[in-house]
Amino acid sequence: MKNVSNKTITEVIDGDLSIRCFADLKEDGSTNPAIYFSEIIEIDKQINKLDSIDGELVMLSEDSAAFGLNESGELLYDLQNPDDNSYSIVDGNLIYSDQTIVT
Amino acid sequence: MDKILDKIGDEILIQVHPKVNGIAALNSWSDVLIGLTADRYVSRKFRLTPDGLFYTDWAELSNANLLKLSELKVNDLFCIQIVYKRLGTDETGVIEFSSIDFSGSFENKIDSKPTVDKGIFSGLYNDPETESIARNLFKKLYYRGIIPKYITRGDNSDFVEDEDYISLFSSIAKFFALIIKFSKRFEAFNSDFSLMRDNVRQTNLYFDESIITLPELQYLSAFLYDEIRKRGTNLIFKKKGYVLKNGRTTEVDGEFLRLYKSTGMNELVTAKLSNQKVGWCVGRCSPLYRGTNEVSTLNKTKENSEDFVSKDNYDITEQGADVVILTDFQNKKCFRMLSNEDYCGIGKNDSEAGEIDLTTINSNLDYEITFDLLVSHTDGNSSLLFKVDGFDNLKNKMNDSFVLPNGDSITNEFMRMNLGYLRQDTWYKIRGIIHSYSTKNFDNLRSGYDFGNRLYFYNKFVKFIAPSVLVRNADILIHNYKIRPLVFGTNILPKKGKDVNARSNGFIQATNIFYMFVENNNSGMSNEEVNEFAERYLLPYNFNNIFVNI
Repeated sequence: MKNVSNKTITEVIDGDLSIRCFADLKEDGSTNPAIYFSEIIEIDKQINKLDSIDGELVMLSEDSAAFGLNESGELLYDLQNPDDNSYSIVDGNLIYSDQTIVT
Repeated sequence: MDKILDKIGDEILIQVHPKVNGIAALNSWSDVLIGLTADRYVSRKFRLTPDGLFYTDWAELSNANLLKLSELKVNDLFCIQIVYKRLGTDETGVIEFSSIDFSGSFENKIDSKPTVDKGIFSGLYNDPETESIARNLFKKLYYRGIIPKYITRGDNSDFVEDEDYISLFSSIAKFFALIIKFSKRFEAFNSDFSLMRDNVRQTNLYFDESIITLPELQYLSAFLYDEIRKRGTNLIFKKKGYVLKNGRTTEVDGEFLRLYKSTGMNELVTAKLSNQKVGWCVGRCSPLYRGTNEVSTLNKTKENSEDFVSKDNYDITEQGADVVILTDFQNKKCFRMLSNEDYCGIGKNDSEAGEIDLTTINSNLDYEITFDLLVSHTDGNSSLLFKVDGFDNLKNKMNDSFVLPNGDSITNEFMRMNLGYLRQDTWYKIRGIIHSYSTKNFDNLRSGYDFGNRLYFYNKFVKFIAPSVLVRNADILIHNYKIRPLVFGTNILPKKGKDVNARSNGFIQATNIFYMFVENNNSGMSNEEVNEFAERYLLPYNFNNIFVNI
């Protein structure tokens, strides 16, 4: 029996539980993108045990050192090749290949 | 691909690991499978474990079966396993698993044990590592090996069947886990934050307990004597990441920065005054003069020498044939600004955040921007633009940063002058003055030659400045370009509700004067307390220290 590689996002909004699990293995054998969830919070919620409030940007990654803020408050992401070339910013949206992950 | 069901009878296992810790209940599900038809479909079985120990029985995945599993006390090992099996009569094509969603309800519930929390195990009860140790111990007690076989349990790993045993021995396991977790702190005290904090506290090194991290504590503890050796040297002012002469990089801010909680956003400028800048020294220092006397090290540009060293240390504006050249003239290394058409020089004509190096300032302090100017060639349209832009803490340009002394209009220009008024081949000293925020307004507060403006900080949130000295249609030389506090003190003009705070060094009868203009962000200590700590422990004993707390 094959064990399917996947990622899980768990959200709790006002006592309502939502679990989303999706297969992540690509044809090239990778499980990119490293940043697999990104959202500017509009309703207070808990995401993967992380309490987040309105206005916060929440990003989930398998690599805890993949992104962070510098002293100026700028968001930096540092991903390993070849994934780092897959991201771009178009009109303020962070794009992974042809898939929008931040609005 | 692991998510593909190729043939009839193929099975795939999905292990869902939700990240929640509390009481959960599931009531519905939905999934996305690609390639399903009437003759090509799947069966779905599931089971789950709330705690990584006890699994439910395999059952068909349905809302009804999910609703039977109410009040699950889940932790980090909560796992839902789903097995898809390909069925049907169609042997062609594939079925691909894409995703599965569950919905339900959740309640945060942390075990509260007042008796435990008042004792030495405080904070350990709900610690993830304690939980992990307790689970490990319980497994040893539940399965064979330690407890005699005649106490029957574990035959079916069934929670209901062994409930009494589980209740008793899980409590015992938890109790021993508390003892083990507590003891482990001392086995590896180097990785325990509170022990390391106590350890460094006892050394009398200053650190900010509210933001210190474990790696920083480990660094301070490991290099204690190095940190002590830094006292009395300029290393106490160095930022984290500074490369020492031995090649090692400092992993914490210098102790002075830690004491004042000074960051790159805070003003900190220091200078040891040479003897000629103290007392009464003709042409150098006067009892009647409260300015900073061009003390070379009291400087916020990257070069402390009067001569320019490199263009790389400045933001330079050049366009085509309008260039800035580092050149020797009269034994001085100067910037020659040669413009035929457009502005060129130091700084930007239209500066925006991110384009330029910004100088950290504090709007409660008076500043001067000075340079020497010599005009080599002009024509009828030659002009010099000397201005300064202000930026907020996010490095956004603020258009209301400065105002004229009479409060009439907002401007960022010290002067925009026709260079034809100046004699050629004569050195002029140019000084732009910015008075601190809330300085009293004065009419007719002019500069020495009656042209150009002094400026007041008009916005207290200005955190950075970017001065510009730009020339057009002329050939000029610039030398000794500096940005520094205007006076020894904070303000030479009275502020609204406050007096002048500026003093002369003319009456000081001492050597080794060390001046510090510093912001104290340490909310736990007054200015007097941080200054006393710095003087007692951080600064050389033979220095006479003068603090200007901004």
